[in-house]
Amino acid sequence: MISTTINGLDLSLEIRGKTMRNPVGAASGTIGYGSEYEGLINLDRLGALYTKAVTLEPRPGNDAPRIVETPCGILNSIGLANVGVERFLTEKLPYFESLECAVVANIAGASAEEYLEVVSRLEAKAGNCLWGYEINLSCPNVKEGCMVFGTEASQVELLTRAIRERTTKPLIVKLTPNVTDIALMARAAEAGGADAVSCINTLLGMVIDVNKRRPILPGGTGGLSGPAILPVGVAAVYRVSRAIEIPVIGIGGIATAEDALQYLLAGASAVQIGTANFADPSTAEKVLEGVTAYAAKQGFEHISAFHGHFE
Amino acid sequence: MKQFRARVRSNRNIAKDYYEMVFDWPESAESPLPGQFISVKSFGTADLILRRPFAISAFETADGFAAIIYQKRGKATSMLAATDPGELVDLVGPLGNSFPLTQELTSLLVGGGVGLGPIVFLGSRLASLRLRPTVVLGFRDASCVPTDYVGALRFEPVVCTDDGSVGFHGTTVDWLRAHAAEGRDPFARTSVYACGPNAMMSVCSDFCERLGLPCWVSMEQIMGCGVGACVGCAIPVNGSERFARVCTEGPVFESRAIQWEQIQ
Repeated sequence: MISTTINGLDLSLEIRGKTMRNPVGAASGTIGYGSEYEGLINLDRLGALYTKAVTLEPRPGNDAPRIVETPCGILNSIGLANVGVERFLTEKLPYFESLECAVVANIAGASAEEYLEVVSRLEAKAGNCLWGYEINLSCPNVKEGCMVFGTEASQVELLTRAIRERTTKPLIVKLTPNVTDIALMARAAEAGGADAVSCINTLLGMVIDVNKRRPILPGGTGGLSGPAILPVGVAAVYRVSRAIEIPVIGIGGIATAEDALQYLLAGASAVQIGTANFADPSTAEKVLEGVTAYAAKQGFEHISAFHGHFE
Repeated sequence: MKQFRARVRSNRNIAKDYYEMVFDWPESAESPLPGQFISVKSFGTADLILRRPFAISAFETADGFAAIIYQKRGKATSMLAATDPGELVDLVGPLGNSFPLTQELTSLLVGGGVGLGPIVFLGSRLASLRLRPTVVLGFRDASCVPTDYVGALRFEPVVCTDDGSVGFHGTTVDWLRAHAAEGRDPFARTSVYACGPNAMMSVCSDFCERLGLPCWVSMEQIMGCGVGACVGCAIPVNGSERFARVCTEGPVFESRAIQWEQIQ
């Protein structure tokens, strides 16, 4: 039985009839497949674990170096390095089964067909080990798929609808901030049948080595994350949550409870901790404690009360 | 592996930009092995968000301490160098794999610059097992040689300097070549362990391959998580997977596994 109440406060969130017992998750790409953090993060305290993106075939990822530190952030170009859907099913799934948190499979592909094939195979074989799917339409570090789809509203809607037809599980679309108006993409996801949107993925960035006179990342650009993008994410959630009816999951630069509270007040129904997991694996636990304490102090009985109390 | 706050016992400058930090190692944490590392997050500033990996250079169970050797070369290591004894540092460890101990008769340990940390740890461990390793440490010049530190070790290393200002005149690999030329196969049944700049390890790897000696190298790469989750610290290796994570498949690799020509 999943406990959703902490100190009389109901922190749970329901999406398509399925419960996420608290609003603090660990973001795709920063938590691996969970087991890597054994001994460092108590995954049973998380609301949700969003897996490393899974593609049809294993992918080796991009050339090294893949990470460069930037002021209050990091720029990464991992390139969706992952074990592929078959090994995901055989090697990773048994571990997910042992977890109490909602396990959300993040799905990426170079083509619409690849997304659909990955979802179909997971639907056929993963059973109830997976809580739902997060569709990655926002990774900026691959040449095909992902952000290429995520920057075209019509593509977002088409792909979301096609995946919607293949699953009854909660479907979350992860949006990119690298667009002129993120609300258009959120509306397209909603129109396609998404149950929620995650907002935001990384911002496109570049760091140049002035001595070598070339970008540090071999591919030139990467995705910026970390505290540097916190206000960008909060603004995006504020805008998106007013444009759509479905829940918004806030991501981007959360390192403290106060950061998460900003997202919740701006309109998010849940949050994800990403880059901060690297710096301090106990971040998610601290954020959950801080959010709970704040809500108790304000007299909120449910997480939804945050939205009603934003001036 | 575990996250813990450790009290700093000492943090001293041992040569030009090199520091040794000694800190408490809790009983509740696993005992680190030579080759393993810790990641440190104690820079007192919000703009540096990544933990920094450092190879362990010493560990004493009885006294409950461990140590790292690091080079002051940027903001984070400058702040680390300013840490006073008694202060707490936030550590995660022990991380990564360790140097495999083989059945070979003798061990040859090669350290370059700040890469001496894990080499010294391995050397001390082998010395305590009475295995008498040959340890060769290379530095740019006399100012980089941690003379007192090296003098206090349980073994007597060969010190090389590029400019000949102290010890053998030349690089560690120059020393290996000179020694190999002495004839009677001085490196028969020897395992080689190296840590230092990539250029040094690459040459060392070539040298070992030519003599048919098994060689292990401890690699470095910018790390995100340090635990195998983010796949950020990948380096190019031979084989179908193409990349390996320094933090979990390494930091110690068989030197032949590395695609040296792809490494900057």
